[in-house]
Amino acid sequence: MFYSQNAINENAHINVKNLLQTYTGEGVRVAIIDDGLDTQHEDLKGSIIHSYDVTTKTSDVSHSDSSGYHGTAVTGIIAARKNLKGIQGIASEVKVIFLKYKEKMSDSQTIELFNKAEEFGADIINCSWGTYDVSDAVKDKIVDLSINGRNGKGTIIVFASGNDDIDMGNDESAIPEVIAVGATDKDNLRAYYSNYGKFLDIVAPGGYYLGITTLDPIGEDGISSKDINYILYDDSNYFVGTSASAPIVSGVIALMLQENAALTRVEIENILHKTSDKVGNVMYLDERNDYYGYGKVNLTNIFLNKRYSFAPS
Amino acid sequence: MKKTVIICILFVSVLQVFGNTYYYKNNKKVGLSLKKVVSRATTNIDYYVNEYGIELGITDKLIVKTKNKKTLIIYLDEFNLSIEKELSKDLYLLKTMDKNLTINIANKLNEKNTILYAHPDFIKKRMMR
Repeated sequence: MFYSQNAINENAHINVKNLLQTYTGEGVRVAIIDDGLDTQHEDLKGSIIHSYDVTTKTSDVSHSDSSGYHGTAVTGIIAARKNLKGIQGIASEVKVIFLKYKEKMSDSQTIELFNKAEEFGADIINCSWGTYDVSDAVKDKIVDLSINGRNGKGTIIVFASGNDDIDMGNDESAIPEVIAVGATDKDNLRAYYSNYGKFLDIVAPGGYYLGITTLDPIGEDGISSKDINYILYDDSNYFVGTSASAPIVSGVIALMLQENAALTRVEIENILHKTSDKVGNVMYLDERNDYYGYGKVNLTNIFLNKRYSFAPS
Repeated sequence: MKKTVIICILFVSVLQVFGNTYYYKNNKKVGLSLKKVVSRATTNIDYYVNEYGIELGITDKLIVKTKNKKTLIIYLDEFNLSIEKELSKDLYLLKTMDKNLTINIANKLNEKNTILYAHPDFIKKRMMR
């Protein structure tokens, strides 16, 4: 009824069915590099195991001002707890490592944050940001982690592709070893703003016209105008963009690692590529195109259709 | 003929905008033009725009990846550099004597056989998505 009331395509979702009752991301560590986190949020209780602010070199990652919200919203999509409150994230029992960046940050500080993610044992790193011009040193660190992290299995680094309807170009998301995520909309098509390119891997709902319901800093802080602790899908300040799509995929990967922690980064990429829905009105050649990557993530395909074994190779 | 003239004018314009200032990215030269100087109590940052239109802040710090730490020590003396920190294996954050020297020193290091790459420790805007 929600879909018909809001004129949403009946397939404009990631086909969760009841899988989130079985899969929660338990045992998996997800690092989120973003602008701040409300660590006191009721719907994140018990989730945070490490935090680090690159500016202050402390564990205080609270938003820098009362209007900050982005990192809290991203984290909520991945990790909001399964409780009697609010929402449930894709991977409601993951452990969260939050790494706070600053808007204008040096390459060495960026590398420091990836070092911290590695030090704190991150299996997955979510990055809902980009610079459009990744430096050699930052790229080197990201590639090294993607290949050698997680004791050689490869840390899975997920980047939002960007919201400017342009080619990903020299962006961090265009590094071949990362998982680049674009956005789909309520019509189950590429969102008009979603960046594209030959290194786009996959797409996931990012919103347009309607947003993604997620967490907002509690009380008067943040951006929500309808609920004090949550950004609702129909809030005038709704949460929309590839920033929302990337954590959906990060959460899905956490569920995959719960099923089989021995999966390598390459194996995870292959499973995602082969199980994605070939949506959209652009031809797929060799299973992909530059606007949808390998298609839209489909949780049921990954876990229930058993097309691809989770057994270690 | 008209097309040739237009192309020549554009080429000269690009030269005037980017001049001889460049840095190395993936072993290729990328043009830089100075945007503005920001002086603060404890930081001193010059902002440039590269040929892709990206704003880059440059300070007295640069990053170098070396094949061999022993030769890096030679270069520290040659260019009057100090090690700020080791960022990861064979990857170092170095400090110059003056931010006005950073680009030039990074380029010279980049041209050394035992250096895999060198570039200023760029300050960039992270855009939330």
